[in-house]
Amino acid sequence: MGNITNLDQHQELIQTIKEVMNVPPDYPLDKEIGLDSLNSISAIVRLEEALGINFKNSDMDLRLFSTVENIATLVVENYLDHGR
Amino acid sequence: MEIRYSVRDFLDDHQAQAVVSKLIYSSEGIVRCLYDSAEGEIVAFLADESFRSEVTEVIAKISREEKQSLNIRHRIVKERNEHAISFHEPAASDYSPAVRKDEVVILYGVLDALFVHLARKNKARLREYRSMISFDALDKCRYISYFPQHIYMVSEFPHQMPVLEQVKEVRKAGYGDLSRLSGYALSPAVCFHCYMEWCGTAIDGPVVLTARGNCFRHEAPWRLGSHRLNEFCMREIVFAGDPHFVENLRNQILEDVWAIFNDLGLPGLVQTANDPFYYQEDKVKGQHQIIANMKYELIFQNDQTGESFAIASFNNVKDTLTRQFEIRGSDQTVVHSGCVAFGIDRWAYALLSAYGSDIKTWPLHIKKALKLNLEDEERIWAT
Repeated sequence: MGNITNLDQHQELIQTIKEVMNVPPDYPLDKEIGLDSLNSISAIVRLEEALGINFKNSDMDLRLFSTVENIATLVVENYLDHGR
Repeated sequence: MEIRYSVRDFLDDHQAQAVVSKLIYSSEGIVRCLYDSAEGEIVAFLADESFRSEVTEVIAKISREEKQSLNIRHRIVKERNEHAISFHEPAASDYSPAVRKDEVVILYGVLDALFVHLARKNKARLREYRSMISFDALDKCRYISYFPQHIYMVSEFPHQMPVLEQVKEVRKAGYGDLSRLSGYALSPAVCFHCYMEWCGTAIDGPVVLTARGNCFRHEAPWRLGSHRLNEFCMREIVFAGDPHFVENLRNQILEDVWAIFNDLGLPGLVQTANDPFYYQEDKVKGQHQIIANMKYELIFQNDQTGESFAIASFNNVKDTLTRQFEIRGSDQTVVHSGCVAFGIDRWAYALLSAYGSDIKTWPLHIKKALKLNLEDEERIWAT
């Protein structure tokens, strides 16, 4: 997933995040995912693998991974090239 | 004799430092170890040549483990440089783990009073606890299984005449064979006593306790001295309540302590931190502490010597300990908890490093910030 150029690709990103985070397809985007000490690190590793990115250390803050919406924002704004 | 183990092209500097942090506690054949970043080598100095293969295998094992871990670094959240300070090396006669004297005793007192004031401002109740803590208490929080490298267990001779008669004969070399574990350890932290006090109870609204105690941690002998002690004085503020209360109080105290640190003109920073889980399978808990902002440390930095060490920690442990100790709110849900810990020896050492061993000559504004008045003591000492 190298860039986001349209709505379909954004939906694809949301879908990928939901799958990786093990939340149901209809899970609200702004609802807390509830990562804890048992699953937080493995979830981030899975996200990196699924999206083909490496999160910067400055982004290793669980608040940025608290909801599907937050994760999507983090990824779109910092890790995808927006088709440029 | 030394081992130089290359990790260049295998681990980055941060990972190599993590290897050294564990290596310190992983072989008693090591008399010193460090990471040589210029050469990309972990260097271990050995007690004698017979430890070479053991230590090499240990370094290789820890390095492999570190390579497999997600590389998460601490994030700096506050930073303060102070270039005006001309650092000093506190004289051993003035600052010794074995004995504190006169002005240094006063300094410990005023530092503790500062932290008590902060605790009382947040409605803390006062407590005093003993130095020993039961294995049962430590098992509840899994301290020994998470941090076996740091625990000091208390042993005793059985009350059996034949054993006691042998004690006099065998002297020091035979004490180990004749003694047994007592079921107690020397407290590695003050807060566990608070959790034992609350254990199995329902608390009615937020609660805050503060206590000072001597704490004990098994440290590699070659690291002991200056700011690193195996017995040290710790003041803690421990609190429990709903999640917002705990998070807000932890953060508010952090801001207040940062203001004190600034008033004292000390250089350093606040960064996310983790506890030193020994086993690889628990390392993920430490990584979670970092990314979940569960632990911050206030680090004093001596720019001239490169020495830096934590002088306070600010912890929101959420429901991890309250669940183990079955501490509930009035609605029977498990509450959250946190604590702030001050290493008083390290605050004293930082101040002595920054302003010198002659406390009387410290800048007036520093003495005022500490509410340090030595005039009465000087009169007494002069007579």
